[in-house]
Amino acid sequence: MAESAVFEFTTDRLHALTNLDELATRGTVRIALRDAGLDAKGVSRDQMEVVLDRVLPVMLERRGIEDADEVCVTIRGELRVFEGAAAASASPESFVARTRASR
Amino acid sequence: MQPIIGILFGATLVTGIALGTRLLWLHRQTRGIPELVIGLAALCTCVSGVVRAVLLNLGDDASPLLTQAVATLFSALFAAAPIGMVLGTWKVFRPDDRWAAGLAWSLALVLALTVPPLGFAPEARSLVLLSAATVISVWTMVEALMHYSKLRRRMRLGLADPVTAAQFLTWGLGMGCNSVSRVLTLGFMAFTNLEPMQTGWFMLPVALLGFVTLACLYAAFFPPLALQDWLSAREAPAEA
Repeated sequence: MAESAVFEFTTDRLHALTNLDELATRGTVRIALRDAGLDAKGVSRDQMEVVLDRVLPVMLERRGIEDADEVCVTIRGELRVFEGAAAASASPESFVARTRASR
Repeated sequence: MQPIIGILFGATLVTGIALGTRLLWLHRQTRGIPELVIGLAALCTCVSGVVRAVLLNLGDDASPLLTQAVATLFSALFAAAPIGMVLGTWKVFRPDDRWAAGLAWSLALVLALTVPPLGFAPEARSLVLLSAATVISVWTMVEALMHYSKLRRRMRLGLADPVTAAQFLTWGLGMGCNSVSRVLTLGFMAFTNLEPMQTGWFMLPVALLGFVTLACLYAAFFPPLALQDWLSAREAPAEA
């Protein structure tokens, strides 16, 4: 299964706004997602926003990107294009949420 | 020892029926596949235990046709339980992965072929069934615990709640008990010629593990409200 549109969008924009090559960009975002307990296939806009806020800036700084915070804020704002987009697929949490909600 | 084993089987039966019934009832409302297949798996586990007990208590004067029919019913129910679980594991954790679909259907086919008069030779049936069921238990345990690990990391960022994480941990622990039980039974069958259900010293840990498995699954899918409140309150200071 392919990566989510949110992942593709984020890596494309990060590649465009920094001097990281495409492979390094995708790798960095993948590592940031993994550290956050997420993956490229299922990451949603809301989740990526948190990663851009709290995980990615530190990783980009470590890779020598000086304006990491600014880049992340810019991409975070651009993620608005995904507002209202449907979730990619059913997650494991949706099943246990259904069972938990039943009384 | 027999009374303790009897109590454990009774408790397992009640827990399994409650779990299966609640999941099937939920399926009526949600039409979710995992609710259906895992619910059926829980019920098949319980009913197969009862049918097995009936089979072992059939007297020598019972007709061969009746014995054969009960044995076939037991085999079908005993194979159906792990089939339900593996389909549930695929649908919950990896619904979009082709390899997972292939593995789930392959295991389901192998299990179906253990039901007489299909496929495997009679002497190989139990071993094949238990081996496939062990793979399923271990797979489900690994998926649940891996997801728990992911949710713990998400919790640090406020992207997951502690109750959901605990649900996956409990599911994983339950399947861990089930895996240990399956491995013990495989080892018992490989190294002895005894009938597991008629060997008290062996049945005690297996019955205990069976009960803990279903109790964990029940707690994972239907966590008590008091436990949910406690877990939420426990994590609250860390978020502040």
